[in-house]
Amino acid sequence: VKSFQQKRVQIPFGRALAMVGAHARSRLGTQARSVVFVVVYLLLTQALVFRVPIREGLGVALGIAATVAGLAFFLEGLFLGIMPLGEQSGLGLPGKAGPALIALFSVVLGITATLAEPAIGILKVQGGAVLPWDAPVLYLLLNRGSTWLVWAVAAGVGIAVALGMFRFLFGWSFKPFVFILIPILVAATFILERIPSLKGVMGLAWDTGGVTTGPVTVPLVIALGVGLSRIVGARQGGASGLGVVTLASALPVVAVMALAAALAPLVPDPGRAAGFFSPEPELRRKALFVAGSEAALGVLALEARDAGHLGAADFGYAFPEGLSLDQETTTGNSTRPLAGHFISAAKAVLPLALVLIAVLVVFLRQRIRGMDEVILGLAFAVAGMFIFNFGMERGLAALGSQAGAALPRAYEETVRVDRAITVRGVSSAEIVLVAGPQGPGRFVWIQGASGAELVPFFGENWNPGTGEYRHVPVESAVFSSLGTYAGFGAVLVFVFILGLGATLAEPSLSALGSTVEDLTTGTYSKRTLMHTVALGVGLGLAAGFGRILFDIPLFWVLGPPYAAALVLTWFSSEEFSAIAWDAAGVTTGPVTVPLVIATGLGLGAGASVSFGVVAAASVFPILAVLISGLANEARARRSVAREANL
Amino acid sequence: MTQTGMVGESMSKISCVADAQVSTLVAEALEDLALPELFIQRCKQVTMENRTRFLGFGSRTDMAQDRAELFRFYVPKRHEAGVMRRVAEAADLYLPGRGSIFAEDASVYRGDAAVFDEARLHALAAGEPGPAEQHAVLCCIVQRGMADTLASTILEMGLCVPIISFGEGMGLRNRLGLLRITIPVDKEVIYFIVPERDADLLEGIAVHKARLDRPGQGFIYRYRVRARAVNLRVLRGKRSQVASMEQVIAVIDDLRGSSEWRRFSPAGRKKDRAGSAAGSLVCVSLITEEGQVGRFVAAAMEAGAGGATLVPLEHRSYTGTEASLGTATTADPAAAAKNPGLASHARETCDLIIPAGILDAVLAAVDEAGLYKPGVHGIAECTQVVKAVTYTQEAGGRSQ
Repeated sequence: VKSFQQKRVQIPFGRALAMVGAHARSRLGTQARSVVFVVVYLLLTQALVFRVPIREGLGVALGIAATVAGLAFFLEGLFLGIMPLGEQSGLGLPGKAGPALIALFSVVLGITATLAEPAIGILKVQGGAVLPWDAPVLYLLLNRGSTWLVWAVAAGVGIAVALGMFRFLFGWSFKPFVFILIPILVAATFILERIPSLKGVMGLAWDTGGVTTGPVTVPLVIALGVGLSRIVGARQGGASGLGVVTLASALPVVAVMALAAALAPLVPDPGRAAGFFSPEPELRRKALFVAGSEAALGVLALEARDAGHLGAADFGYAFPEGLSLDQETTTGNSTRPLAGHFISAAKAVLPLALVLIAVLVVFLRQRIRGMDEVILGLAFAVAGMFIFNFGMERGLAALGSQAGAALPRAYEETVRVDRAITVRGVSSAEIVLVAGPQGPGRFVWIQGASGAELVPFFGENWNPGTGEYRHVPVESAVFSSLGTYAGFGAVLVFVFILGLGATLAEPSLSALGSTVEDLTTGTYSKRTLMHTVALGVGLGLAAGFGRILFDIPLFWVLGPPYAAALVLTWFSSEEFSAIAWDAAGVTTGPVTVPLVIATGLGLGAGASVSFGVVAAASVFPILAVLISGLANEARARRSVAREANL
Repeated sequence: MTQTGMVGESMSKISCVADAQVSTLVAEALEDLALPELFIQRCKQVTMENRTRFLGFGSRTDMAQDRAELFRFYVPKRHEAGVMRRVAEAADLYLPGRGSIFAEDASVYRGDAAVFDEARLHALAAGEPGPAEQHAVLCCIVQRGMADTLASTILEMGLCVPIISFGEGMGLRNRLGLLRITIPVDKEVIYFIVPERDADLLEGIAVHKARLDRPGQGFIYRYRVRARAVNLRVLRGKRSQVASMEQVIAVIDDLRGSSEWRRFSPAGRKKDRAGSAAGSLVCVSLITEEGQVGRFVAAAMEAGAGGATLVPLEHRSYTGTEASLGTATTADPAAAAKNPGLASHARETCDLIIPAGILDAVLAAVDEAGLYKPGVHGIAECTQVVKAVTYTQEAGGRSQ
């Protein structure tokens, strides 16, 4: 057999530079368009609605530019390097390996993907504010037990990838998986939420499912599935090859719930700090299990005392000998050093790529197609993720934090300590009683910017001896004239639009959109999918934050939408079901999650309560895509049926 | 010719485009015929649709895209008409909107000859076949995103229902080294099935609309087919007439022999453009197992072929017990026993339009590169091309 090598065409340097320039402009332009909506929206909301100045404007602008460049590089890397590697592995495996080897490969791939996934770290940041006595299991999982959490999730993802591959190999339908898994998960949530020690963990479990399917794992798993199903032959519709992401989102939830249930008897029941630090042997043993060591428990107790959670008497009772610990405060930088970002990016991309390359070269004995392109793609992916992470932290996430911090102004008064003034010459004569709906209140006359002002009087701010009074202005809620619920409504509208905009910039969704467009020959376009999913995420975020604002149990936010999704799945085609459920896994990626968390923290919700928002943002896109798919299919059926009835 | 270990047969190549809602019926009909080999290409049929505006305020006409599958298979020439009739009836392809079926002559070269169940074909595809009409198929390759614009123009003129498929370019791009990443690989392949007399007009529109007379914009070629059923429904939606306008138009088309009567005359249109003589161009379609066609295209290009477009295919076989398992046939049982994995259904094809004079050299080159070796599942299919148009530097523009 003779091998032919096509002659290389030499392009002059100037022309080559122009070609690269045009290509880069096109890619950067596309990404700039994908983030411009959310950036402009955040800036306008902050400046015009909440009237808060943008802090660190230059840094934010540079961060946003880095986000755009990072996304462009990362997506280029995804399409040049990661997805072709995944597809080639999918195409090569069934020909050489039996089911056992494919299962082994899938489990290894799933575990590697999860261990490399940077988003787990985001959950830990979110859980930084969890108090050990409030939610001991949650605290344990996010601190000392975080390795157990990661391995539980990794096992879930590994089994999910293996099951997904088997589904393609043996032609199993997608629907039974969701009809079995999802009701079990929803029922388990309903039951476990009623157990006090596990209540706080349910949100984490569901969020883990959404968060672990990140920007590298998802495109890789999709490409692998598409390749594998092409080998087997797509008899179930064009979009077979999808559905693995759904399993990779659902099985980690099972794994985390099981882990939490196993740990629950070993930790104290949730309650007050005094109970948690009680010196009774049984309780102390459980508290030590949560903290990890005597020293760590001591640090927790000192922090609790300093924060006012543990009274001096309770502290003395808990630790009669006192504590002499070298407390190391982890003040930490709010921003990670550049090297950290780079290592995180390399960890997310390279181990997975190496597993695939090893399988292709060593096991399948295949030459990697377009090797130069794949290597360039992997380099782009690492560089892109590095620049993107850096940019997100300085740009969009910072902007999101500022907007999030301003959000409570929508429905509650803001104490403006920064505008406090001290007035002199205040005597009891200036303090007057003013009648009000709750009885008379004390007010004081002071000189304001536009003459004398009557403002509420607080005794603790007045020094009768010197006649000085410290006035701290209080701004009323932005929507106070419309009532508290209008403020809540404004918050929900804010997060709805935020979700809508952030989703359009999600790289995993872009990869899924391209795959779906290819598989359906453009009849279900990437644009339609992205817009439909964005609408779903917006609604999901509104529901998730509604849960925080109105203190609704997680079951009621997730249960009914999942029930509706199951009903719609029943009536949907196999392929649209897989597209819709996969969309749920890809929506919550590196753009949306930091913004959601920044907003959640801005609202000041209890940390354990704020879990579950990501899960809510995942379920509504399923509904949106299923409805859109049903409409699409109905139109196609009608068009053929109409002619038959003529 | 230097082909070794290869069989060449003169066959009928049948192509059947079926809407996704009826493609199962086509597959079942072909399964009944126990065809040893067929290839499925994902595609879509594009039509115009009248849609009512929000709250019933008037209506608008949009382009509607319906998923479809393009079945490609070979049968002995004597069974062509019977097989087409059988498939067309099974899927009711005579009804507008369902699909089209047509055939052409092809020389097929492969490692082993395909074995047909003659008795079955004779029993199921016998009978009076009915007349097949001469049509032209124009195949246009453009950059991804251009097909909709072109299809929309053709639909607005009521010429035919375009069929669009996705592909990847394999020409000059692959010779640029890493710089190739700056050139979009994604292409769209559009098929137009029209009465022969409409082919010139359609080609003119396509060249003008898709800017095919400019460098790097694309390529169009045409070939003759014998059509059994052609999807004529260019418009769908609410109608006020008892019979649809397309049905009326189709009847008049039929009476007049073409759609010339409903065409506006573009100013300055050349009436008699010089074209290549029939038989001077050949389309060589190389079909191989997924991931392998590249090296055979390189061999063909070395022998003088120009650019090519890669389109993924799914392979199916409806013979023997393996067909029911959905696996491909394996020629070597010992190899199959040694290999624990599945036989692949993934294939890919590249169409190369070459002058008839270099056909032998191209066939010899792909043979030498190992197209017919076991494991490649290679097929070289040659069909006549009436005319091809693209930009070439030598001509300073259009080349025919």
